[in-house]
Amino acid sequence: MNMFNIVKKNIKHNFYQYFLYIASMTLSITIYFTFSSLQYNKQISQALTDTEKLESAFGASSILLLLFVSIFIWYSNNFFVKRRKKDIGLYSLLGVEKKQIGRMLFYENFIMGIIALLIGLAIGELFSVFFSMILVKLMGFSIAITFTINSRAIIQTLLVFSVIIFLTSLQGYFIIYRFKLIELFQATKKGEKINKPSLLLALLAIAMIGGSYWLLQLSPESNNWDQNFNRTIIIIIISMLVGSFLLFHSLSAFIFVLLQKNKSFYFKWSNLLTFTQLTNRLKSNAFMFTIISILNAVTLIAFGFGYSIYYNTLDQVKSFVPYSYQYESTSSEVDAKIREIIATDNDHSLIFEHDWEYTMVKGDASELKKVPGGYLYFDESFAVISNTTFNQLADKLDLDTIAPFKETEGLTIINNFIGSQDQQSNLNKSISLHSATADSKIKIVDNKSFSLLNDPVQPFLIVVNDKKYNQLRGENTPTTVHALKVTNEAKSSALTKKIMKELPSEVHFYSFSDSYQEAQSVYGLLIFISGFLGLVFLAASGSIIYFKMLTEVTDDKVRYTTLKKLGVQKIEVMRVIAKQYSVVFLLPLIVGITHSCMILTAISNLMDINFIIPVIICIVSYTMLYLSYYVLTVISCNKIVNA
Amino acid sequence: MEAILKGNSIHKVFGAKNNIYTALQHVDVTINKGEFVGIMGPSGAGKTTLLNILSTIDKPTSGSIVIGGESVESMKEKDLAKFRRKHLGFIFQDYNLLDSLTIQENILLPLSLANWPAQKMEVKVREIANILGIEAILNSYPYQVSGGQKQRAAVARAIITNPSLVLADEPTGALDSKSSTDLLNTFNVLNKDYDSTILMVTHDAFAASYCDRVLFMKDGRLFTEIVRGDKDRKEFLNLLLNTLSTIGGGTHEHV
Ligand SMILES: Nc1ncnc2c1ncn2[C@@H]1O[C@H](COP(=O)(O)OP(=O)(O)O)[C@@H](O)[C@H]1O
Ligand SMILES: [Mg+2]
Repeated sequence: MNMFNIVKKNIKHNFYQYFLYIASMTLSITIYFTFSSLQYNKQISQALTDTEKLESAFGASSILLLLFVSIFIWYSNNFFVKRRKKDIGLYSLLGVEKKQIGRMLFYENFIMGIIALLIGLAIGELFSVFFSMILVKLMGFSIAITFTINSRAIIQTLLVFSVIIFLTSLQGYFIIYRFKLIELFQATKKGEKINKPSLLLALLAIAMIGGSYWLLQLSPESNNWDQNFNRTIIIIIISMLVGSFLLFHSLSAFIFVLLQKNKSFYFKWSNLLTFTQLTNRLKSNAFMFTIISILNAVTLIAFGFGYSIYYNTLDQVKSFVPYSYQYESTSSEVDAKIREIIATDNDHSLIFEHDWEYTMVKGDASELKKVPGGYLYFDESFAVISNTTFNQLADKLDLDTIAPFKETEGLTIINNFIGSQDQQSNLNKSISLHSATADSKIKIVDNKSFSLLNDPVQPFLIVVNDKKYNQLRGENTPTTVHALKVTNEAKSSALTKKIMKELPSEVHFYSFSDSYQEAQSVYGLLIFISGFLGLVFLAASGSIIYFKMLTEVTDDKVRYTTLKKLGVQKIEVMRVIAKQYSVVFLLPLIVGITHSCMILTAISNLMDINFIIPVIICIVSYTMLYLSYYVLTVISCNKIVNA
Repeated sequence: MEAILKGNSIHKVFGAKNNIYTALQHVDVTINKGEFVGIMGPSGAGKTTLLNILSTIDKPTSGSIVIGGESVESMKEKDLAKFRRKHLGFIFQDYNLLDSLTIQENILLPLSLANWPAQKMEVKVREIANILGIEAILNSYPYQVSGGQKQRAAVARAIITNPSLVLADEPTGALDSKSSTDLLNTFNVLNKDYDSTILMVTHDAFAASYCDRVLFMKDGRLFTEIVRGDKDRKEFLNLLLNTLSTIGGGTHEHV
């Protein structure tokens, strides 16, 4: 009972510090619980045809999240315990037994953990409804989310965090045994040693970061990349990480010395206070800056990538699904019926209807550098079309027509999703098409990157001279493709349903609207998860700086009091704080943005998707959220200093 | 004689309604230009409170303060800050140097606040450091130098703007006797040779014996005032010690 009273008094006395700790734990629990509620949400998984994708995407992310959340709680716990060292020392000096102190800290931690857990579950329950609405919207479903209690998510969260809370409480219990009394009393070190800026390290920082950027921009063409992909990636990541640390650690000290040389700038009092304070803390801040800039970069990469793909969904689907509808024609009555359905539909009208044919021919592609997967999938066959057919299609689809080939020449059509679009490496190589009489050798004179079929697995298309085609057609069975294009195809799922009813079930039918919906649900999930993790990382980097600055400013209170006595106004003190923190917040943000832009550029080159607009949107919105943390920090610190 | 500071019936009350503590009761103080005045009294007498009010850091509950002909109570926070910058210099018991600045940067801070050009600041710092004998440590950080040196740096910071009044709260409180004596001699030099007006709070009779005039405080009131006149320092010290023993409290560690 006695112990309980002490704990109660403690909490009352150090309310602010407890509040911060509970808040950060609550945040972690809320995030985790929200995420697992989504993972086990029945309404969403029922709406999805492919639940496996949902489960694996969420499963992998939730492990990442858990790891992250544990590190974050461990960090806040450490932070909290450090702030309490003096109290602990005092108890021990007053003669409270170590065991008792340990037990007190254990209970204290445990009680706070339980409080955070309950609050976190309550907030998380509300959040999960909100976030599932967003998820459903992003995936393009039209279902109304209802409020449900998700017992599986609750149990999982309870289990996971009970363990974490128990472990951090144990950490609290053992702290008294870990430190000597004198260590508990040592006040925060006054005046850290200032880094001697080393030119060598500063140059090394530039070299490492520059080198990794250079490697990244080489990505699509370089042979080295192709051959040693893993090794290159590892080299890039390590030199980026180490380079960033050196950048903050040495290069910034170096820049500081340069600034110092410009006396009229440096001796301006607000600059003097800002820069000396920054360099003074450089050693302990360099590590934090590195972590924050990496968190910023990872967030921007994940979110920028996810959003770019989502943003480009329609274009992507358009480039892989050229027709609104494609099926193998069975009878002219069915064709007429479908024409009739489209004609009577108010929302869509027919743009073109076109029958064409290709012939699957077995052949040898061993000489080619790049062979699309469809070649092997269809048993080492090529889908051959004639020069004339190609030009007819090109005309319908608004593509460039081609001049007639010689009999020994041909053109390949390869449309890869990921991988370099530079497919000219096959030029002037030959393939051979098998035939009962004599194999024909075809020299590749050109390559095009688009799709002529709606099929999810596309055969390796090759265009040949008309005469050659007719010869091959005679020896193999041609396939007829019935292709239709309607207006406003992105919103044609109602029409698709009507058409599907008319078609015999065994017919291969590929519609634009189905592909689009499928892509939307997959990319929607991708953007949701990357966005969610992005928010978590943002909250983490923001909180880490926030905590750190709050600690520093509490230690620095005397400093600001002195300044005020020397005649610095309150508003000027706030300006100095704002200036100083703007550097603290902006440096890692700028480095993070630069890193992520370099990596995203490399990915964008690799995939040939335009990232610019979505990435800009993403960077701007991230910066706004991030800066709101800056404002919050300045306001809180100003309150402490100017109260 | 020209009065530099005039405090009239200064009253100060701390705390809320049912828990009132009266720290100062209608105190009248006048400091003339060129004087070196001490305030003595036992711990809790209200010395620091008085000094804070006289130096515009704190506000009196009632009473008026006029410094250099300007009435302080009518001024806004902004004007007060500017006023402090221009007219007052502060020295504190625990130095209050900024850890992240070198001694030189600490000393020139008030000039920088007054927007002096960089070159002139450096010249001025050198000049002051020369008087106080701290040129050698100008590029050191506060944590690298001794307490006495820190306090001299604090003095340099306080006087660098040529303030009309230097206020010191127990400046020798954290110093050993040698450093104390050095500092007090420095005050004497500043006062006699450079015409600085100094108001020093101390509970140490030895330190107070350097002053021209010493005010005694007890329980928030001015108790008495002793003027040194033509007495030598030893005599004056004994007089102070006698006065102290009659009001109780105070120490005398040196002699
Ligand atoms: N901010 C404050 N709030 C309440 N009481 C105060 C405050 N500052 C000083 N006091 C009280 O006023 C009295 C005088 O304090 P002070 O002027 O510091 O004395 P000293 O002569 O030792 O410098 C003390 O009893 C102290 O407790
Ligand atoms: Mg005092």
